[in-house]
Amino acid sequence: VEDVVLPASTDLSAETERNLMIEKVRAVMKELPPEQQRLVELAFFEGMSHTEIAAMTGDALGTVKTRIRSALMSLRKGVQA
Amino acid sequence: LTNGTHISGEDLALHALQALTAEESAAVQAHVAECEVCRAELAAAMGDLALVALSAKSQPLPKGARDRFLTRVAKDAKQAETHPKLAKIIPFNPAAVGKVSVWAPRVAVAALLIIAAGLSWEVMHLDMRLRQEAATLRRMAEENAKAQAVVDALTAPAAQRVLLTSVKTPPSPSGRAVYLPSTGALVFQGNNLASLPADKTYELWVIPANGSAPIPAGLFRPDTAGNASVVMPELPRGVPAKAFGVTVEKASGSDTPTAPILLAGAAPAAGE
Repeated sequence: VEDVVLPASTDLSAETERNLMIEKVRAVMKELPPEQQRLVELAFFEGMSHTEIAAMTGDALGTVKTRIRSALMSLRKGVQA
Repeated sequence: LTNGTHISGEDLALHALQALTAEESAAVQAHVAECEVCRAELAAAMGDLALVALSAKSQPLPKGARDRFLTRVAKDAKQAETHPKLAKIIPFNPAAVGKVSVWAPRVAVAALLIIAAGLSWEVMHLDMRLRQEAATLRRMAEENAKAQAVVDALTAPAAQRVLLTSVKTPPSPSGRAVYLPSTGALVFQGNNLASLPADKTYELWVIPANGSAPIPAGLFRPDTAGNASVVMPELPRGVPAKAFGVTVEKASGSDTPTAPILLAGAAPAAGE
């Protein structure tokens, strides 16, 4: 009788790391100021342009840009921490 | 859009989000094609968006949706077998096309970003493991090389083997040096050495055959049995020795030997 190593259909290590990363991202997103969260959701998940977002929220165009950028930078730093 | 010679981080982030107008996006695209700095910043912004994509919460399928989907696929497959050459004509509906054209690219981009984030994570992990393995391998190679040098010095026919004895009687303290001038490899073993106060140490010296200044070859203190050794001190290569000596120096060692010389031994010519 020979020992046979059967290939696993899923890479548990990679799956676990991915789940940890998702948890981390969600935690960082939750910590963002509500107005930044809202703008990222409008731009990313609802596909609105910056002018559409500015018109909808009543914020200045520059404010919309800065808040989206700040949110992404916070996310990057939070995940790298 | 340009901030001096570069595009602002805000506009690059919006470009990555496809939230700029077509004209603005075209301007960003043209600049990024030429500018390495902005290209790197845009890539970082795309990475950030991959993280945003990960934050989307997955929703469970409605009950029975999987079975309905599989039934539909099986039905379509059966129809394709019975009418393999008939292409289905889809009526053009501008409104429907508009909706699809708005969502489809974003969904595709989000999916690609998720995959890219996963792959980046895996590459980072593998890279870390590779660096650890390489460091271990390097350390083992260095240890192996040092062990090999010791063996070579002890077994080389050209090695100078010297027995060092006390210059005064009684001759109880002694030392034996094995030295290979071509590589600078030196192994010294001392016996019956007297213990020293804490602020003193023994120092081994190589006396070059060309008459130049003695070379310090290592500090050592004997153990309770009076034994000590110096293995592979840092020595210049290709310096034949005329003699070896041991002196007592201050704890931090000395650049020149301090009299008296406690142990000394003349080296025979290499290979003798």
